[in-house]
Amino acid sequence: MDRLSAFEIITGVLAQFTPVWIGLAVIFTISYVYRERLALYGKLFDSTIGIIGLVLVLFWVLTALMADWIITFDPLDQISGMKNKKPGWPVRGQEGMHYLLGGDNLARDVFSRMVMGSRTVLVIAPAATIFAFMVGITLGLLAGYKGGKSDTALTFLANMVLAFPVILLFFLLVTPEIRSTGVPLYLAGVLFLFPIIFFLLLFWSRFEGQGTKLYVSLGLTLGLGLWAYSGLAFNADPTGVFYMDPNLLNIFVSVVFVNSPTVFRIVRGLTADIQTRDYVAAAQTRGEKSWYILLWEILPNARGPLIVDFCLRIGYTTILLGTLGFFGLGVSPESADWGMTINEGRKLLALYPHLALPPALALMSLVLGLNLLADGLREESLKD
Amino acid sequence: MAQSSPAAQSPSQNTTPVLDIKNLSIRLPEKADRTHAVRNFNLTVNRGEILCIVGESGSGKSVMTSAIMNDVPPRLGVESGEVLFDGKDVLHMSKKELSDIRGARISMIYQEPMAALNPSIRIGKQVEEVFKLHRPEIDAEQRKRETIKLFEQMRLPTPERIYRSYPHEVSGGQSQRVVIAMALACKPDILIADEPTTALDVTTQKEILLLIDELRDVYDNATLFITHDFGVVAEIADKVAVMRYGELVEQGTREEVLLNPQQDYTKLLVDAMPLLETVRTPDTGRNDEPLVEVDHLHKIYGEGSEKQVHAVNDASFVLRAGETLGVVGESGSGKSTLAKSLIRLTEPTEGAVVINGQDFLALRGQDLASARKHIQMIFQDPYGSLNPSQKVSTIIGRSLELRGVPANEIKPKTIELLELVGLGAPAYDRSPRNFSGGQRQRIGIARALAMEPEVIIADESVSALDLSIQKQVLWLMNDLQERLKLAIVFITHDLRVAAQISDYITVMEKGVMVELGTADAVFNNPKHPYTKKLLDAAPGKGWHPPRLTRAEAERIAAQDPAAAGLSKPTGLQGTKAS
Repeated sequence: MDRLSAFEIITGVLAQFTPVWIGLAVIFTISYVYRERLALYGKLFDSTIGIIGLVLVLFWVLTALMADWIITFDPLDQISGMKNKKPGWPVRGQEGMHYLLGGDNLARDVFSRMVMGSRTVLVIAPAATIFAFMVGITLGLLAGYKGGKSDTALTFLANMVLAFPVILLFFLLVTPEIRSTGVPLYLAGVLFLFPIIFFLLLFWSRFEGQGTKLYVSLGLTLGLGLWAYSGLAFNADPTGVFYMDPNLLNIFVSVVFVNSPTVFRIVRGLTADIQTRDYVAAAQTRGEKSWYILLWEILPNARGPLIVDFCLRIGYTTILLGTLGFFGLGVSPESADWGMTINEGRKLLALYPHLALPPALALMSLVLGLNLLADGLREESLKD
Repeated sequence: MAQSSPAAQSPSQNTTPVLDIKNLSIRLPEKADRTHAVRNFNLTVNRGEILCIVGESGSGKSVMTSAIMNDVPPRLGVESGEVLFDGKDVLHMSKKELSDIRGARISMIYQEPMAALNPSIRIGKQVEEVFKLHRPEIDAEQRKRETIKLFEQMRLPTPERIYRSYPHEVSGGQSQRVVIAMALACKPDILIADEPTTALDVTTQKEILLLIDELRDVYDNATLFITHDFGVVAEIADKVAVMRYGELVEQGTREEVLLNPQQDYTKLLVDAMPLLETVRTPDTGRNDEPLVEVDHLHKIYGEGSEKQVHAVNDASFVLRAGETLGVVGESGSGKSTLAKSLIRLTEPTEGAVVINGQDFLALRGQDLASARKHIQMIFQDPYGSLNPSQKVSTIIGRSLELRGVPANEIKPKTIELLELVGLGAPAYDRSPRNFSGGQRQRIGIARALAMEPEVIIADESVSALDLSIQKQVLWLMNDLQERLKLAIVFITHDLRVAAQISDYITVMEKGVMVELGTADAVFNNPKHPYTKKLLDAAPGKGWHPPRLTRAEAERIAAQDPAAAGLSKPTGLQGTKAS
């Protein structure tokens, strides 16, 4: 059995991604046909840059979703004789099977690890960004609208967090001494409350005085919210559906914690601007509550810049997760986390560049995609 | 394409036309509401002549003038035609020829004087820049002398001081004079003025109009004056050209067009020109309980005696059901602050506002929220007052919801309100961006009415609208007031608009109500010198263009192909400074 040629490796890799190509084709055909009705997303098709970004992002999203069908070997399986083998090396004893992108120093398949690594990133980065947005939006609206002392206090707090070196903060949060004091847990306890608060305020301000609608929406929010909250923050979910590894929780909380002040500042600025519009005055003169004005009159009109920032921020978070993994603060030591894989590959970079390159390129293309997508969205949303 | 301009060429005089536009057509991008911004347009302008181009927003007047400088926005394209300046086609000139002409032989004045000046460069330097560019032969000292001389000619007080000032240190009227000075620095053959007085107060407007009129004699140039206001036309024009949808509708001398318009559309526009004539005589002997009682109201901004601004100083009035109080004043007179204080968008410093027998200023929390339904506001900017991310159904329905209207009645009631303001059921599911300015203002009125208020505050509610639309909205408010017995506080900078709807008028100057009386008394027998000054400055005074009956005006408006659909063509509204 021979080693695969470069051409065979490329076609092999492309063929492995077949489910993703099919998925992309389906999504783009449907989106293109209905683009007139899809508001901002539909208009993205007018922007070449935006479309390139969308393709890259969707590629990795679909890869993460269908990773089980794409991988060629179990990402944790070590096959003897495959240690640090070059890309396209045939697997001994398995006819016609190759390590498409070679093997790592523990004789695992680099290709499969890269594909599996997308899962960690694409679950944690968007989820952490959403949480950061919930915190930032809730507090930012409040500070921007009310001004005064609460604004001063919150802005000061945000500036303090922003002024603290991020990497140092992460090292502190994962040090055993700090962990034993329970600080990360308390942080999780506070930060994870915000999505619940946000949705409670959202429904309460909209449906107040409308009986059933109010009670159903508040009940659902509280029920689901507290169930998830108990599981995610304190690992106390009796059903076990919501669960977060303590190591993961640390990373997650830290990422939310450092991202929310920036979101806070953006939302605060947008709110201060939008609240001078006449439609806000109109809402005030008909006697609306502050939270209705904030969440239903102001927030929808801040969505353009927020969507753009959301894309960019997922990119930053992805890089941040990579950096953390690189420093050994990864999600778990065994996982195929891109940052950690890059760090492991780094040691042998001169001899075996194929270990570090695939995850690095993967990370780069995802972040590039997110940035291009954000650019495209910004461009299209400015056209209105 | 057939030549469809109905207007005759202007009678040729002995002078040679300095500008001759022949058969000009300018394309619009593909997705626009019509194919051409300007179509088959012909126009000649002679030296020593002021030609007013009148048209409503989106009529193509700004695009047409951009062709004179060969400065058509790149996404539009000149399809055919010639623009002959002194016999040479501007549209086929080289870059060198163009830059020699622009600013030197053809120059332009814009609507916003502040935006036309660079805020970080001293005024004198900015004017000298023009000399540097177009008359490099004169030296620095002479440049300064020329600039100061220009300032004197523009009747600027203390030219030396203005020469050293930054734009923010001079008033709006003064900076417009500076802009005119820059435009005239090289003694241009053609001066294009794009709504140069629209952003200014009436008294300042009058001075600028006088100045432009005088300068025409001094420089013997041709002036193209773009405006939407027939009052201004009456003050300054020699000739008038009326534009609509990019075509020339009618052209003639000032007297011909204003006093004897031929085309239906011109008749409609001339009819919409507001006159300084009151239409209402209130019953001054009424003894019923007033709806609004304002007593010694003060609003002071800022703290410390030096920084304080007394925005509203001792305002008092009463208003009864079915009556309108017109509040008139120039910018900074405190009329908007008065409105905001009445409705508690800003908290008054002192005084009392009693609405419907209730002390409105003493209310807090839930009481205030429920009392707010008595008094509602219609805002100035039809584009900023409707939430762009909501549909009309939400914008109006939410008010009904707040009032506790049962869920199943909200939709029929919303449609009822839409019909009341002349929009009807098709508007229900649309979002604000599908509507023109006038239609948006109707939605704003429907939103205010949804609270079933007794009092409505209209803060410059029609001043952002085209004149013909303005008239329709005023009619609507008039009708609604009669049907619902509303008390209206109508705030405007334009005395002529106030005249059309007010029973009582108060004139404000620097926060003080200097005059308060029946509309008739204020207009025909003004007591305060400031009122007299305002009345004197109102443009178009003494002209009596033919009036249409309301039925005729509505018939003509209905002929408009665009009025039949919901959405009025917005044309190039996006591209012009408005």
